[in-house]
Formats: sequence, structure tokens, C-alpha cells
Amino acid sequence: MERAEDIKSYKPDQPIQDSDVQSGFKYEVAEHVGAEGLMRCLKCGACSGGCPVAAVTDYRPRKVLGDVLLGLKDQVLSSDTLWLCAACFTCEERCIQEVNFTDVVTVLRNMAVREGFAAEGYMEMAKRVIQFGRVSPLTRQVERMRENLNLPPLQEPAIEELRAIMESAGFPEIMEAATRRSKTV
Amino acid sequence: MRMKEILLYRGCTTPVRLSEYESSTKIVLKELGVDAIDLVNANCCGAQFVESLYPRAHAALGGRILALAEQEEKDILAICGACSGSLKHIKHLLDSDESIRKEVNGLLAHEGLKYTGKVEVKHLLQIFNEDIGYRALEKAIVRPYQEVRMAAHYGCHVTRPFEIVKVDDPENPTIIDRIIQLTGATAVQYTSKTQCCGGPLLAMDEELATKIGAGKINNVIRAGAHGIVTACAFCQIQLTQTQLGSESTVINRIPIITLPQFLGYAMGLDYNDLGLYLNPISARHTVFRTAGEVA
Repeated sequence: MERAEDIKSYKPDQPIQDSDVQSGFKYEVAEHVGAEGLMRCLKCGACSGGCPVAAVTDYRPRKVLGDVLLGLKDQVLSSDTLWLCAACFTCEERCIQEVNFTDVVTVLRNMAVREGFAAEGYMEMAKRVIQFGRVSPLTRQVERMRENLNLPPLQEPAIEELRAIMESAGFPEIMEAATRRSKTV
Repeated sequence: MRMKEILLYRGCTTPVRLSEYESSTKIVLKELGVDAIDLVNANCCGAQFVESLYPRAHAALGGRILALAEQEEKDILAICGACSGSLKHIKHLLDSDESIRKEVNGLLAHEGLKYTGKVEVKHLLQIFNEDIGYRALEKAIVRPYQEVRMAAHYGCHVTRPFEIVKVDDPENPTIIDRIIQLTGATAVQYTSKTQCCGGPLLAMDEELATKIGAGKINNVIRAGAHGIVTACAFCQIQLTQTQLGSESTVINRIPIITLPQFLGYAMGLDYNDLGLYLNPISARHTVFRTAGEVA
């Protein structure tokens, strides 16, 4: 068994104030594709029960949902907690209300990014995708390994096309919005 | 017999970090009558990272891959859970939301590409289960394992959410277990079988990711397995690296083997051709020896 002090804490240490509540937040979230199920949440906790991250930390999907429903917009969007979901879809599979928590989290992350709260690790990985066309770069050693396995040499990934498509989709503006806050703080 | 042809979308990680998974998939499928042809000029699908930052870019990246396959008029085979999950989600989105489809097609137009929804995306497990079938697999086994106990790890994005990916029972998956049994080994049941490997958390909290991975490994070891069989590039990498390094909390080391490598050896394919020498935690003198000395 884990001892309590071994469990990693992601809980905020401040009590909630009236001024923290923005009651329209849940409607704002539920408008997005994928987050429609939010309003059906009964806060039963089945999501937390099957969550692999909740098993080893005090992160709880039910708390994220509860905070959204209560309207703690700033707290939810600025919190690291939002980026702890492993997107394993266990809760999504088990939710009797078809809330689709994993998709709600994706929507919340997309919103957080526009507010300037993107997790650094995610930004780094996205930058790698743009730079190398893949999350891990190709090295000479890898090329030799592939030769030994009789695999064809790897063409450059379609980086130009990838960049073009990301640009026309507006990705650079999003990346800029995501970093704006970290620069001003 | 005419070979069935399918386009292998290799993804961005498999070809550079797990080329043995790519090569073993190709040679095993060829032996079973399926020709996996590389989908060339493809891009990264943007799963998890681009997806979390900006859904429109994620839809465009996935849409481009699907549209490339449409040009070739063949279905897509994805061997990484993140890729198969991502492409299936994007296909579902583009098929069900006309405005997003129009938007994505607008972004693809300058390359002369268009998404119309003609091709399917299949994960490797579906090829075994739906296209090849267990009877053909059984016939192909010429070098069965003896008294080997293996644990199946399916990968979250391979089997969930069922409504979209449609691969196997999300709470009680059986495809890998059935294949393990066909090779002469015993499929071991263990606590947390359908649980995440921890991999997606690496970008946020490596310690946490490793803790989740190690917890799973320990459950498998306690169930008395000799190895773990995987069907996702990220799971394969994560379950391996979670055991390495001085910080690891696993009670013992256990080999992690991709499904085509494990199956391929029982089919009589060569140890080296399957790239088994590249697996960091070797099963050469344990699992594979039971099927006869490695040449």
C-alpha cells in the first residue's frame, strides 16, 4: 500500500471564493464539439474510480468536472491538473451519462491554450513535430538499424506540407497565444 | 492466392524508434497473405500534442493522411495506438461534421487532395481478427512455444473508445490473448490488464508516467508471466523504458515484445529478421528458447 505522504498532490490550497465563480463557464465549454456531454454529468465519480492517474496521485477527473460545472474558469484553465489526463478513455468507456470526459479535457486544453496556459511539455512536443515532422528525429544510427532490417530508407517526412497545413489552419497564432502569458508573467 | 493490399501508415515514432515493429509487421503479414505497402509522403498525425493545442490543425493533419490514402484507393493500416486512434477519431469527425469536412478540404485543396470518406482505418489487431482470421494463424504456427506464459497489453487507444475505434471489447479484449494461445503459450490474466502504460504522461510528469508503467509491470510479474505482448509503438517503448534506469521501481525485469515479433517467431520466421536483437530486454534465452534454440 502507498503511504499517504508518497501520493503526489495536485490539489490547490486555497478555498473557493464567490469571486472565483463564473457561472456561464459550463455553457461556454459545452458549446464545443466533443464537450456536449458535460451538462449530463451527475458527478457520480465512476471516472475517478477507473482513472490510472487517480490511482497514484490526488488528481480526480470528477473534481475537474465539478470545477467546470461550478464555474471555476480561471482555476481550471490555468491548472496543471488539466494536462494530467492520460487520455486512456477508461472513464469515457465507463461513464453511464456519456459525458466523454477525455473529449471534454481536450476542449478545456484547447481553451486553456488560447488563454495562454499551454503545458510546456506539450508545446515542446508540438514544436518538435513542426521542426522535424515527427516527435523523434531521424539519426544516422536509426538509418543503419533500418538497413539491417531491410527496411527502405526513410524519406524526409512531408515537412513542407505539414508546415503549410499547420500554418493555413492558424497554428502559429495559437502557439503565439499559448506563449503570450508566460512572457508577460 | 492474390495478396490483399493495405497502406501502412508508419507514423512518426515507429520508423525511428521501433523499426523492428515496422519490419516484423511487414514480414509477418506478407507470410499471411497481406501486403503492407508504405503510405509515402505522409505527415505526423498530431495525436495528443497538436490535438490538445489546436483541434483544427489536428483535423487537417489527419485529413491529409486519409486523403493521401484515398488517392491510392486503399485502406490504412496503423500499428501505433496513437496513430490508429487519432486517424479513426478524425475520420469519425470528418464523416459526421460537414462544416469541419469542408474546412479541412479547403486546407487540403492546394495539394489537390480531398477527403470524401472512402477509406477505412484499421489497427493491426483488426487485420489479424477480421482479415486473416484465427484458422489461418493456427495453420501458420510451425514453431510453438513450450510452457511460456505471456501477458497481453492492448493499449488504450487501440481499444477505446469502442464506439469509434471498433477493434475489440474495451473492458475484456481478447485478440492478443487468442493469438498468444495459438502460438502454444498461455495467455496470463492479471490485475490492471486494460490499464494505461503511463506513456501519455511523459510530456507532463515523467516520474508519474514511470510509476504507472512500473505498477503495471509489477502486476504482470506477480501473475507469473515471462513476457508482455504489445500492439502499440508507444506502449512498447514505455513499458520497456519504465523498467530501465536506476529510478525504476519494478520488482524484476520482463521482456516486452511486439505482437508480430512474438507471433512471427512461432511462424518460423528468423529471430534477426524479426529484429528481436533490438529489444532492450532480451527474451532470447527464455521465451524464444522454448520454441527451439535461436539460430
